[in-house]
Amino acid sequence: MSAQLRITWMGILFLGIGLLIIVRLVFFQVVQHSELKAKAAASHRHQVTVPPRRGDILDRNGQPLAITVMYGLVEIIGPQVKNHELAASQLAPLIGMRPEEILARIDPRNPAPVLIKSGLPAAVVANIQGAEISGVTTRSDHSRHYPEGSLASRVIGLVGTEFHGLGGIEHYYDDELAGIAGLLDTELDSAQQEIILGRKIRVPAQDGADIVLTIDRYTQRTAERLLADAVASNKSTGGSIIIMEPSTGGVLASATLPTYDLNDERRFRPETTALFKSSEVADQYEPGSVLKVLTMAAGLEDGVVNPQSTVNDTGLVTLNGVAVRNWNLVGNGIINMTEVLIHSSNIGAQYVASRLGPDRFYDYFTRFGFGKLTGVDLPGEIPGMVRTNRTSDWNKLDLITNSFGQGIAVTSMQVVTAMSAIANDGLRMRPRLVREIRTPNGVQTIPPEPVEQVISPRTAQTLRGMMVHVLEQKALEQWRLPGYHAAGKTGTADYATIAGYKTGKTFASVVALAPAEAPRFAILIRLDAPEAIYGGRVAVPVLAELLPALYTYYRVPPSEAIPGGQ
Amino acid sequence: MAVVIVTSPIPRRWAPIALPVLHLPAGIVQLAPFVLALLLYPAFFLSVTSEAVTTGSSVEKLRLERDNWRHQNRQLEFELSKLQSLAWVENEAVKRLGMRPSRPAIYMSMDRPPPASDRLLPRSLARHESTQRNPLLVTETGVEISTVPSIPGQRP
Repeated sequence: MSAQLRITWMGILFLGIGLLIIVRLVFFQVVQHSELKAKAAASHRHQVTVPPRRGDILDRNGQPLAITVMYGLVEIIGPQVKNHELAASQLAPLIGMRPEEILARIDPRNPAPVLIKSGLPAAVVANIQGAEISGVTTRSDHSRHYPEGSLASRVIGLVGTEFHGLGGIEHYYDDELAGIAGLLDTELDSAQQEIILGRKIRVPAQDGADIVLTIDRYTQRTAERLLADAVASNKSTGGSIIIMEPSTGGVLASATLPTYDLNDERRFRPETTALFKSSEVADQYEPGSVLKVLTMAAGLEDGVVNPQSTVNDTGLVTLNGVAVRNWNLVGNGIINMTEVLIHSSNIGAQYVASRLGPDRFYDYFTRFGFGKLTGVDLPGEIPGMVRTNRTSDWNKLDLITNSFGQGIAVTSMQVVTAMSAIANDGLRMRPRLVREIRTPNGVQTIPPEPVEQVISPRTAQTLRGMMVHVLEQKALEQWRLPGYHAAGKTGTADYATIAGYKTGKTFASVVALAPAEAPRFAILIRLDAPEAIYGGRVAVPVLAELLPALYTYYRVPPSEAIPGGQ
Repeated sequence: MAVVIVTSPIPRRWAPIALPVLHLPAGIVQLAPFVLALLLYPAFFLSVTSEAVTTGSSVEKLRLERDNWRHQNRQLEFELSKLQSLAWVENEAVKRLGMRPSRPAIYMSMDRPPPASDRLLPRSLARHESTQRNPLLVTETGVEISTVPSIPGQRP
């Protein structure tokens, strides 16, 4: 082979190798460019999520009911600790632990951070950082705290371990409260240390909004205390008190028993999960005679009766062979409409409903808000169950029983909202629990929202006058507060079960509008399965204690001179 | 005989110093500033980088400190709200100060027998008689508290 040929072959060989290298380079740098670039970036990219602060929940006066606090925690990365004994002895006095306890947790083979202590105040964290102990790191951790203890726990709700609301306001306003997480995007070197001159993108977290409730903590606490006393003294299984501001629909207090303790670390138990729902809107019951007020409102508004209209209450009516009696099984004779309410006459109530007819009767009930959602800002609301003449399973007996609050299932919130409409001169407001949302960008005020003028102001005033006689009747005289008039109606309804009503248990309740002349409070007090079964016996005494407290706190003057008073 | 020789000052002349002239190629002379800049650039880069790193570190420390203060502020706010909570206030009032939950006071009007004669009393004391019809405040414990100031020498 001649030299010229050898050179040619060598040239071809080198050219081939060169081409191979070029092809490979093109493959890496063009074809696989994106993939390899992403891989390279991922190998030294370090992203840290910056958690936002969850917003606070405040009462109507700005007192915190739920607050998020950042507490520090200290961890040790075993392999990074140079001198175990020295590190333990330096750290121990700063966090109030014994050095032996810390030494026991240092594992030189475990590269993962080991928690030494959490819940550390910021000052302690700063001291630890200042000590610059090798292998010791600190970071902050959110925790939810409740300065008022378990006050209004079933309204506030709770957050889970992932810091999302699981019930109540925490769940309903989770998006507003949660905020938006931030991001810290940096680059690490091969030793997993941050490259100072590398890329550093900082997207700050947006803190959650603060929610201002319509609830007043003093009113709430008073309601909870009275309810707890009443439940205990009447050996009830539970109960609720809701106090609403009729002119705005704002809930001033909503106490429910049984409840749970927000500060109890063991609250996530199977037996307590049923308590996480908002009972005011998620549980339904038969209200009983308190609904006679609404039957009467419909009758007065429609003009089929007036306060002086009379009915012959024989104590019994029969429809299709079914006998309907008064609660005490006796007749009241010829009585007027005010006396129908005073004696809580079932016969009188069915008389009004019969005069109205099913179309108009159910029209009024629907307009008062039964059978549909109230729209209150609580999760899990149900519409209740109202059979009307437009539904297939309705019969004429339903009209009679519905007129005195039986055969119908409602929520506590529906009852107090309907009563608020009477207090608010017939205008029904949407019930609400939140009056303000304070975001970092400004304050969003949630205005009161009128829903419907159900009855005229004149009818509402007439009805309130009739209801005053109910609470001022002889049988309840001992509970009357001198100087003030309150309008109200008691109710006693049997527990409805699949087997029927013969359980021997009742829902004993009273609704009240106070003061009757210009109501500032619409109140529902309900006790579940009390020993003394009647609303007049168990719920009215609670009202008699609640009203003076409200009048004093809200500075409601008496409407007339207190007899014997100064 | 004295001879005065007047001399006029001789003007001093500065002879120009002949500096050696480097006859460098024109290209090198033109490149010199670039070379100098190239030599200074690493020092300048290091200086700026060092400054940036130091400032960045200070900013990080300040940011950390600010966060710590914020956290501390929140913790104090929480402590404050706990101390203002109704439960705490009530607990302190009952356990530490020995107070009791308030109950409505019962006011009773009680007529007292009129005084025998104002003339028997000094004028300064007689004016108290007009307040004798004030009610007694009966507390829940049944203790009667008279709103009438007691008068020395008179039976309460």
